[in-house]
Amino acid sequence: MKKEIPKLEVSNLTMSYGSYVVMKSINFSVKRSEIFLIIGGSGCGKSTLLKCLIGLKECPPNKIFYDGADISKNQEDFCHKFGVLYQSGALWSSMTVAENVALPFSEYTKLSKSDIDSIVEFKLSLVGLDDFGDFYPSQLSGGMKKRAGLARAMALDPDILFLDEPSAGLDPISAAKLDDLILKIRETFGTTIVAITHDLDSIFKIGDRAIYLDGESKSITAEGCPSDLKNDPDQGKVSAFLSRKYTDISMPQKEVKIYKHQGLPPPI
Amino acid sequence: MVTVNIACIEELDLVRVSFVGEWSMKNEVPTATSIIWEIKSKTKKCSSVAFDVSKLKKWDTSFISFTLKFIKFLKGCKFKFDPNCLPVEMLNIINLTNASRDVSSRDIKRKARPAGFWKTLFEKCREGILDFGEDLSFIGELVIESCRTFFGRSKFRFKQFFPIVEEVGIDALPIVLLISFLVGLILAFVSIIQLRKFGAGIYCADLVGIAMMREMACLMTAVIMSGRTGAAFAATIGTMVVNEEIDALQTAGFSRFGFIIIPRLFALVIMMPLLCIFSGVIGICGGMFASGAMLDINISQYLMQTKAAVSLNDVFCGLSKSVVFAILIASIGCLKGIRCGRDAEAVGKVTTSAVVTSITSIIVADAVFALIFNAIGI
Repeated sequence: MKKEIPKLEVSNLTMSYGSYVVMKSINFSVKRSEIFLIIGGSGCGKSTLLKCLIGLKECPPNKIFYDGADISKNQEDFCHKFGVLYQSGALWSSMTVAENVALPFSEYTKLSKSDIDSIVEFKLSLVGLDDFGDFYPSQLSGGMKKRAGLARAMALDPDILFLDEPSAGLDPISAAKLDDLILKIRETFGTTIVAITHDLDSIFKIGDRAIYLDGESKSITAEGCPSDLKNDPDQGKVSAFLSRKYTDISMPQKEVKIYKHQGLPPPI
Repeated sequence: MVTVNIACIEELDLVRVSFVGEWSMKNEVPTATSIIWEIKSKTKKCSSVAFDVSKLKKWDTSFISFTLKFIKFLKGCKFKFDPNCLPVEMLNIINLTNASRDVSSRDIKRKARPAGFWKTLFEKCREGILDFGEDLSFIGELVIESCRTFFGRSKFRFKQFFPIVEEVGIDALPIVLLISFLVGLILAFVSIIQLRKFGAGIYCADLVGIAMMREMACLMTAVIMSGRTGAAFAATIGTMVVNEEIDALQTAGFSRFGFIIIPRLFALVIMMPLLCIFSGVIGICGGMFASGAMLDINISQYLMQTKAAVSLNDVFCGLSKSVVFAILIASIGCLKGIRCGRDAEAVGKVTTSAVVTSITSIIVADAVFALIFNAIGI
């Protein structure tokens, strides 16, 4: 039987800023229509990895493969296949929400203006912003910006959606709605989704598989289904991360103890 | 107030340090060094130290700081110390700081040990060369993209272009006119005072006309546009970098030049010569106003004198300079904006840098123009 080519494959990738190595020897692959999560502590290199995946940070050749093709060659060809939702939404501030979503269509398709308008309306209604098309990004709340960003990211029905902390800064209800939307997008369009998230509820709700980037060993220390990772006794750090426990791993009581005296001395 | 009692219990090999009262940073508190010296002076035999805090009514961060310093001193003097005699709340918070130190130790390692002079110099030179390389690459890309757009090989984005034309042209006109009028007025005022001594007051029209059309109009407009438009370009693009808008353009496969830079460059290149003409004309009007007030000449005499003095060459010189100044202002503003860091402070820095660099390069370019025009005799 022919082996299925992964949608996205990272092979032996090392990321660095100058001489400072952020992560070394990263290997993972993302299957078609999978929701794949990148998790890890703050500053461990998740965003740097995302930048490499979407081509914002240069990588050596033969490290990142999209549908089996090396992404470093003809990077511009891959742009139209990606959708990226940035943490801040990153909407173009000089354009209205509708113009933001419509821009990829006017650039990359030959659709008429009325067709583009109706698709934009559909995309905006999908994220619950159909009444806000004429608003400028500065007139939207954080959650709305994020939803508008998602509408723009999925404008051209991309093969793969990259989400950078989609629920960060959202209230629990909005975050839950966004999670539902992500699941619906996958269900409807079969989109492969790669997301960075710290939100535990989201991790367990949407994640099919996750990798844990460990800042200390600068490598992937765990990979698997989030609930399995949480319950795996061998994955101390990851399990603690997913259970929101930190005292076990980073509160060494011994630090202050210089000399252990037997009991309090008697009062003077 | 707090008082510290030190007692040696030699049979237990222990020095007991008792704190009585309230330890507050608002009051005078003893230093760790003074306590250590006192302990050392009181005992030669005891090797352990214990705190008695049972009579310490209140304490704050200054007590924690004192304790940490004290423990460090004790360690250095080979004394043993039992931390269990400290208040539990204090132990907890000290443990927390130790835990935090563990978590952030990677960051500390990154910044550890300041580099030596030669290494710093080498790094600075390396950064300088890399920055220069990036500048050159930007200029190269800018030239190529401008040519492509000019010859219709790249899509020109009118939707982005017209609002910028309005911003850099129409919106800037009032301030340019005001400054130019005043510059013309000042030039005329200064020249009239000198020329009147020789009965040549009418020649202030020649001086103002030539100075405005050839030099001052384009220079003053360029300085105003550097502070107004160049800074605005850098700040806008810098903020776009901070908000990841540039990243979003790049990942969507759109050229940052086509969307951001070319419309700004073209808008300024078109509007600067127009502003320069307005500036020259209004400067002459300023001179005329001063002459009317200080000399016995009428408007038509002044205009006839100006017409006779100002040649087309002077106008050409001013306009050609304004185009070059526009290119300098736009490209420096955009370059600084694109190379902005990812925080609010960086936006401020690039804005300042854009203005300073623009004005400096305008003055340098003006000097070069003076040499060239002198060499070719215009």
